[in-house]
Amino acid sequence: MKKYLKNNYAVLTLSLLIVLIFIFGGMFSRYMTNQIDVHAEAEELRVFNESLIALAGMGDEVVVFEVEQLTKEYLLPESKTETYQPELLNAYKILENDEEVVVIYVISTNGKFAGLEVAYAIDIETKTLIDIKVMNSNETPNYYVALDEAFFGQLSNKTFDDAVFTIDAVSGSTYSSKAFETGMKYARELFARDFSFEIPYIVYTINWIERNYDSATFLTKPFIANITYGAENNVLEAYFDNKYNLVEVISGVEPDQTYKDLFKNDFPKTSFIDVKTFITAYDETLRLITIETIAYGGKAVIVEFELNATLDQVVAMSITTTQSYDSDYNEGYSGGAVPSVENAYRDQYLLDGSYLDSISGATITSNAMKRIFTLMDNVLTEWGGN
Amino acid sequence: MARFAGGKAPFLRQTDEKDYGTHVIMKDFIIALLPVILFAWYKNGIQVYMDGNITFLEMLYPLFFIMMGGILSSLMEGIFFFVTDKEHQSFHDISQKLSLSFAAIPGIILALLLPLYTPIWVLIFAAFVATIIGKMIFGGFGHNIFNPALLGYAVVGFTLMGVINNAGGLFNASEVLVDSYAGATPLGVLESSKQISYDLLVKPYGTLYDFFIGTIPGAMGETGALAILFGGLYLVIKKIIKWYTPVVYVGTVFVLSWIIGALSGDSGLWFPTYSILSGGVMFAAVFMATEPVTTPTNVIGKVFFALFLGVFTVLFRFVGNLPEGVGTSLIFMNIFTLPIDKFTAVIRTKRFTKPGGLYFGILTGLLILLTVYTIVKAGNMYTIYLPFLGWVI
Repeated sequence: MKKYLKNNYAVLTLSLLIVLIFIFGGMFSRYMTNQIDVHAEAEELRVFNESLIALAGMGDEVVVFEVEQLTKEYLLPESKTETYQPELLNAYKILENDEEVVVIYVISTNGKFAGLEVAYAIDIETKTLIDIKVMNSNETPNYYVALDEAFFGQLSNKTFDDAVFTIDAVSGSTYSSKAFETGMKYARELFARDFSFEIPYIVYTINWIERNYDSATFLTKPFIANITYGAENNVLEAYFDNKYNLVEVISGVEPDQTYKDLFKNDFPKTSFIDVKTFITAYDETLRLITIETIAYGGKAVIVEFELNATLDQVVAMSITTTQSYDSDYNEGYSGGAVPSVENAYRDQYLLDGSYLDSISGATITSNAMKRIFTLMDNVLTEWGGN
Repeated sequence: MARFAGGKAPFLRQTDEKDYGTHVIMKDFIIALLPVILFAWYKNGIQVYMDGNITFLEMLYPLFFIMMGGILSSLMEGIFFFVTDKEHQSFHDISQKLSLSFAAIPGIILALLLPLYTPIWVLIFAAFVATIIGKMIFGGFGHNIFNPALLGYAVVGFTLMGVINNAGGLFNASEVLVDSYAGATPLGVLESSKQISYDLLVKPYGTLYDFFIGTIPGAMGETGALAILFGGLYLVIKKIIKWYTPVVYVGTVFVLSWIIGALSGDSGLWFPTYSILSGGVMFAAVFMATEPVTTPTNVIGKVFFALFLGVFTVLFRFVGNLPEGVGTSLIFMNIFTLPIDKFTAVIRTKRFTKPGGLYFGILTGLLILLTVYTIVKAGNMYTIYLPFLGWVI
């Protein structure tokens, strides 16, 4: 062995050096290759952090904010009873000169589908939602595209001190709109928990809502509501228009704008009466009364009724509609083209004053017709014999 | 004065003089390579580190890689000496032989030809091919037919380029972040697009100034044209290489590219400039087309060699599967070094009398044919101008 080593030490040494290069050089080159992914991830993080700073509009550093989920259920967009829990995916703090200036919550909410992931950037000092950034969306593109600049504009510079913390939904993209609103509200709840912010809370109760049947005023003031509000339990009775704005106080003290916004927001959520159907025109001379309601796809169905001389019976009606049911798109619908559903309801109503049962595949349009007839019947009842 | 005689005897022996001999030539070669090595390190290491895209350890890798190239080829040659010479197997004997064989140079050049993210085992394999197969099997220093480094590069290029690309390829950590590069070298873009367009070939990489400085994607040592020129200038001043070999080679590529560009409808000088500053043209012109062992020794031979090399480079670039044509054309031309040397030696001595004139005519005729063929086959960019030639060839 010794002799072998003595005779071959040179070649063994040279070979050993090659093996060492193979091992350690290989480790080095493998390290280099692995670093590519590391750098790619770092770059991705850098770009992501820059996008967060751009979203915040201030700051120079992003740190991960370790927070837990907050249990808070919200209504599913398509339901009035079922609820779900939004998911806090990530949270970040934006620092400026080592001082926390902005917190960003990335929240997943449900729109038409689950998984609308949105980053909500909140100014810690001013307690304002600075802006949002959509990180991921499974929403139907055709509907989602309806969310325009004006819609997203509602989500920038929105103060958390607003008791009526809502945004106006976009017609045709209601579910997606609600997903953003829910995310915004959940972000405020998180902010309240993490930064000791007190969410403005106003006590009020809508005691009842009735329809105004006074032909002189029902066009501009279709609703009368009785509301108890404020710490002193002020009782207010007032007229509201068909956009649920308070237009005239009947009795009590006129509330401030915060309450008015709150009423406007909650008005359609109440179940006292059908607030989606309005009288939009009345010709006393010709005894023509026009009633409009919102039906399928947010589109209106308008019916003009002609009353008899004693104002207690409908003698004729004409329908204006843009509904879109057909056998290709509405499962279960087997009737004729638009406006066959509306005409069927018209004929039955004119025949004996009754309403048809809902027509399969055109339920929303059927219900719209029923609401119109119900309002008409109520008017006739109120006016009958006058 | 020429260091390698190609003419008639008697020759003056100068190798015993202090400032002459192969050891001086090889020492000067290494000195000339220094700017290229430093630029390769700067571009792929220091600059990227200064950009904040790599760690300190990664910054050292380009230098480490180049050093490993030299060390590996020396070690392999040492083992070869040990195995083949039973009389001289001590460290002292082997190291003496290595110093006379200039074992490190093929390895250093090989490392400069390879992409930054070449795995070390690939470098070991390439160094084995270069040193043992390309050099020692032919008899060692001065006897090899092919440029050893180039042979190692070519074998790896044809067999293991996928492995190299999977390991990271030739884009350094700063270059991968440049969106406009889109993962392709300037020559890669030409190869895939077959379009001669400044906006396509140059603009994504900056300007031609960037090509000249070398801040474009490419193998470690091939992009730094300015550094290569410094090295070339040093070699010319030291009379290690003849100025006309690189000038004729680069000039041929330039003129042919200009003609091809003009026929495609763009006669601007940017395209020929782009052609000579892309890929390994400049590096090959200075460090490989001038290599004393594998290229002709006499003046006419060097000129013909450079002319053919230029034409083949352009031809392989436009008709080959790989975007780069330099390595392939050099390997190919190495085969013809001996006949060119012989033919041109006759031309040199017999001038244009028979058979010198015949040889000259054959070489010139071949060159013209090849040039025309290259221009015609240079792609489908301009065949509308030469439809009959496109049809014929």
